[in-house]
Amino acid sequence: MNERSRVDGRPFDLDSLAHTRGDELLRLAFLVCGDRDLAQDLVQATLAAMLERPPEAIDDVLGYARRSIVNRFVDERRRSRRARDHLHVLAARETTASDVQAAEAEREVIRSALATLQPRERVAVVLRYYVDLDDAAIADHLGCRPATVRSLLARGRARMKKHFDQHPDTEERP
Amino acid sequence: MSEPWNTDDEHRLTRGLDLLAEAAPSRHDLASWTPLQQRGPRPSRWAPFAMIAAAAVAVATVSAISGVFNQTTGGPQQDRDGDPAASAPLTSGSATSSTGSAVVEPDAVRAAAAPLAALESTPGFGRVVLDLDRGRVTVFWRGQPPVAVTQRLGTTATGVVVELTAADYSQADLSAAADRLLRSQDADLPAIFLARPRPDLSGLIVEAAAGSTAPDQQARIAAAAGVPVDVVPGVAPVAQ
Repeated sequence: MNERSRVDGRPFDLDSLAHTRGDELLRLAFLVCGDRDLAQDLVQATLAAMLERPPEAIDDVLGYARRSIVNRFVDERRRSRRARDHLHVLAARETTASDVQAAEAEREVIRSALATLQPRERVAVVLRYYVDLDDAAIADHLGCRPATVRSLLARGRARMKKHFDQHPDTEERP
Repeated sequence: MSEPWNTDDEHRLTRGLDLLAEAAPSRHDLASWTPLQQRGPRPSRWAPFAMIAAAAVAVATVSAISGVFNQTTGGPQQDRDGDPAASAPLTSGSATSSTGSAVVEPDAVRAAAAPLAALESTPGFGRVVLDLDRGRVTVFWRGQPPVAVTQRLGTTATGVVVELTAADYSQADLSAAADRLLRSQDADLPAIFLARPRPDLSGLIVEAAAGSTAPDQQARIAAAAGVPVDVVPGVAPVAQ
């Protein structure tokens, strides 16, 4: 996850980025925004913006793409002023406890737990627990200080914990 | 009072994110879309509208995401220069030459799409979708398309299949609908976070506050927009 200026050993170009890392970027975008279509928009916007920059101007290709995705997501949410003061809670979908649907149920728990977070909290949580970045790297992505990241993560974990407690994990621990 | 975050929570979150990521779109989904292009500053006043406008631009632009990357600049006109397919003769509509084992070059697909994408400002224009894997360009159009479209339907000499799909609404229609919705004075409307076109241009996908997916709320949102809507729970922005 720390490739710089090369994508999978090859010199950077957007073709190789899209083909080798497109899925990874889409998963990141999807986790932070929670919407498949918007995830595609975010990735497309990012790649289109990267078109306008000479490859040599981007020294950390994957990092640049990730930063662009999360910043676009956060910016869009910020600019959406109409709902500024509204809390958001995803409507919990009815799920069954059957084994067949257990994975889907757990996916829904995670989805709804993420939806209780503010956008920057969600970005921080995804970058930490999915992309596995440290505080400094997350701070770089979000344009803030590591201390702010720790605060975002703490708040995010608290909200998620509350949600988890309301939806106990049914998976048997090894 | 919740117990503190612990390693079980950590494990659950990590595992859950992997599970959830499985539901993400793949780059193959992305390949049927086109990139957003920067066309000057977005309007800051109507951010959700800006989103739909951007999405509309996205579907209108010429290149599929996996095929545009080697271009140095965007824009249909530039693509048309030196375009091997835009002026290529068309067959009668048979896709024979592009089927089977024939390989259609991505550049040919982009070139075939370029003159169609250039019609973005023409009334009725919906979107142009490129499928680089199958060498296909699909034009979405509301109403009777102009000759500039119909003359390009069929299979180009380079093997690209250009097809037409009827759209319920044009790009401009849906941008206007999103604008109506976001400017609505209906005080009972739920908070709207985002509006963007359905991929088939049959209406809007609207992200709104919790509770907005109830049938009466959906009907209220659709009435304000004036087009069919899919209302999905959205994520509220952060106050600045």
